[in-house]
Amino acid sequence: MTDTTAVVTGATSGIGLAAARLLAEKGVYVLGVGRDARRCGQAEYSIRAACPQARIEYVTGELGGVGSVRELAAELADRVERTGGGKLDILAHVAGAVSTWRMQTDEAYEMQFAVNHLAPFMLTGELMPLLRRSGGARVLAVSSGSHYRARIRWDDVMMHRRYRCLAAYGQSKLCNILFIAELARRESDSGLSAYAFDPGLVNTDIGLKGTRGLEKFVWERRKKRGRPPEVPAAYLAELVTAPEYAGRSGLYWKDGRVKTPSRRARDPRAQRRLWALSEELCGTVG
Amino acid sequence: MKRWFMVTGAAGGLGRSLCVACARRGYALYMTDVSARRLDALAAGLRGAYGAETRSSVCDMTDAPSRDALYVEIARSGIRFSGLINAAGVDKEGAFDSLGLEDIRTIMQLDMCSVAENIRSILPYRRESELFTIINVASQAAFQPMPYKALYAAGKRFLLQLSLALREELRDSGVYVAALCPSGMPTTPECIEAIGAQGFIGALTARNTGDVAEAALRGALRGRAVIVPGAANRLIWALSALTPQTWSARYVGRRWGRALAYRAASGPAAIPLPAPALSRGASAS
Repeated sequence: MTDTTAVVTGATSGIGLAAARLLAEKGVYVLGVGRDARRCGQAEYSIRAACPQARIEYVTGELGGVGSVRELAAELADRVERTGGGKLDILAHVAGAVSTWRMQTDEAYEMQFAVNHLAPFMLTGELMPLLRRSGGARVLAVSSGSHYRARIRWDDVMMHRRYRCLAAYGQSKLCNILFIAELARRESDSGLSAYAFDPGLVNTDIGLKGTRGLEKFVWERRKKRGRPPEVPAAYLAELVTAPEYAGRSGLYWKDGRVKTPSRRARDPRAQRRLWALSEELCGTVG
Repeated sequence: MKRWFMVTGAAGGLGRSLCVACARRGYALYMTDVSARRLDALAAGLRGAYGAETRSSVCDMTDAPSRDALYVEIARSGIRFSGLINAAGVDKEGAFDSLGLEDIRTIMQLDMCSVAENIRSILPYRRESELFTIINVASQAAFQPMPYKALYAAGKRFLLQLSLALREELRDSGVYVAALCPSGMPTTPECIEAIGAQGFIGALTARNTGDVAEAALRGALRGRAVIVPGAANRLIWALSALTPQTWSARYVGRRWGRALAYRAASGPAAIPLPAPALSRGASAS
């Protein structure tokens, strides 16, 4: 795997950090993405301490905002060109956001939709030339079982009115599956494989950093029952590296097995509609 | 012909939501703010999500010459407006004698002078023979004197009084004037921290900017005088109207004095940090 290059977002804590370490241990050249330079430094240090021969670098970037994602993509593309052999083999969208209050990006986009869905959509699009050059690239988005109860509010995806934290979270995780399915369809000729990934209930801090009150209380109780992040990270690393998963594109995976996502996630019209909407929101059409 | 709304402080937390509420209703937007970068991002977002037509001008509303330049620019643009939303505002919390003269001037320029001047300067460019809607973003702080936010609350009271008086004065010429009086809104890590510091009342009264902006547009376009989003907040409004001002001032003084003392004493180490309002990291189901 020494000629393999990977980008992992959300790689400073939780599943992202564990996955970055596992990939680096396999000899993959890993570009980790984090929001905070100090925490990126800590993460890089911890991986090097566990695995001295790891080839890992961190790039700081903000995923909440169209402009900042475009800047991040340019920075990543530059690194891949200079030190990653000019092709990108693995792109793992692990970063995720949860917020009790409705936060918005500079574009007035709802933050969970922007970070959990639009950022993966844009990063994938901007890095597509490098992914195509790989010939057998794999793109993975971390979705969640919470998509089963979710629907897309097509008349108000930004939840400008009546924002609910978990409705917005579920919607963004449903978007991940719709995006992966449509990506698989569009890139079936370029050898790219796309995976939606369900980590199950994991003991990470995702639900504690932006939540208050009842949601925080419930999340604190639930996460104790969760598995350590290394467990889903191991499945994730397998999915993006093992040869037996190549070409099994557009599916929803949990614990190394294919799982059927919700009916709404399998709707091909919704998949196309979300793609078109996302293009408009990112200003990438016309 | 597009119908235009002008929005000041457009790139701020509530400003962005007010722009969205206008764009959802099909209005074109003339937006001003201090940050060109954030105005550009907002314009792109409104175009992407709502197909809205926008124009932006960078203007420092705390600075009279900067406002004059804006009015000239508006006159030259040839745009005729259907509405004006004064959303630019500022506060600096703390004891009055801790404010510098510069702080005092900034608050008074932005929260009072700029609003009066904007209304006076934009009204001549209203769309003829149609309704014109003005929304002044005041605050629940307008309902009672507020120790430790004395200047801010007085400024918001000024906006409330100005709105109600102009509403009568301009009624016959087809101008609706509304004062929007929201409670705390979770727009920045500091605001979220302040809501948290107020405990239960903070959580009960705080509303997301989107819902506040929707209530504002809905109410203002129907000719409402005072818009208070949220049932709990309307109750507080009713209670404050029945309470002598000296009493409310004393009550607020005690509450805020305690909250400030608590926040000062617990220091940055003990306060739940100006939180990463969001979490980035791995995902759990």
